[in-house]
Amino acid sequence: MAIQAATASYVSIQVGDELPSIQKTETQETIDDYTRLIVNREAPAIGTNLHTDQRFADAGIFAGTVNYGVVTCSFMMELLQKAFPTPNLLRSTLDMRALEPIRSGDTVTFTGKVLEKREEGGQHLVDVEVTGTNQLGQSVAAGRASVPF
Amino acid sequence: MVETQEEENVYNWDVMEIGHTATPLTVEVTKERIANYAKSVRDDNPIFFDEAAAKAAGFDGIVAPPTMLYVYSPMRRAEIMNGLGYVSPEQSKEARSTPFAGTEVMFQGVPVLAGDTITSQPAVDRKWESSSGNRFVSFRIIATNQRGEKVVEYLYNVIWEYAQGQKSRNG
Repeated sequence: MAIQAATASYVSIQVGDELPSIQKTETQETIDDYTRLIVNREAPAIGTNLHTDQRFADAGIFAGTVNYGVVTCSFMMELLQKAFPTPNLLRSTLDMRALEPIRSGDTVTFTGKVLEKREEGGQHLVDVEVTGTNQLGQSVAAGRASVPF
Repeated sequence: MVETQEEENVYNWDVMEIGHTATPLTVEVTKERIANYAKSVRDDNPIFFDEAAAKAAGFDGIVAPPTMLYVYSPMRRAEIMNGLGYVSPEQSKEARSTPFAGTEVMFQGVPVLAGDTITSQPAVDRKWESSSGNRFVSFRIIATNQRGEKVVEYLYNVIWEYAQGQKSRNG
């Protein structure tokens, strides 16, 4: 059974335990929606970008628009919040790498697993890996979090 | 003024120095902004919308989603470059992107609640070239609340330039 935030504790969590999985689908509409959160501040920079400027994105390395990498990071954090209490996550570290672009129409499944339990500086820490995999089976993002208890 | 009619001054690898920074930015984190962010990333956790749910989870009020940090303490690379008299690669006439490569977040144990005011400042933290010749830049952003408590510190890494032969014109 996957770890649940409501019952998670350092004692109950075991190496190899899985986190609940979540699925997220990006569309051009969801990408545009996120853009509206930030566009007021950075309008000049947002004008030419890989997320909403179709012509520019088509000619770029990804040959099309892609989602915001920080949104992918937020999906990973949502997954972590299903497994760990939010107050613990607000003392955690998260190291995330983008591996492949997430495009409009992609559905990504985020999964996670406990790698290690350890003590450091008087704290109990649970290290987990989180992976995002698209509908083609490609790993699009990888992350590692250390959650204190 | 960041550009003349004849020639624009595009921020580049050679002029980039560790510590280049922008002026601090202060953002008020309101209930509405928290709700809009949570809706945008399609996270329906009630602690982001409902005061009673947030209090039941141990918070003093509606709490901001942890990764809302990218909105209330944004990286602002273009503002770093503009402040030094340059345009960013994305702003130039021959625009090219500097795609997201990854992020490292160090939360500080201080929740950001509706009504908090967050001040952040970004700076160029590191630049390096991979064995394949791709160039990367890391920006470090530190954010504090209205009480001067650090709420988050994070690195935002971008692919500054691809090695020759690895990119298309706008890549």
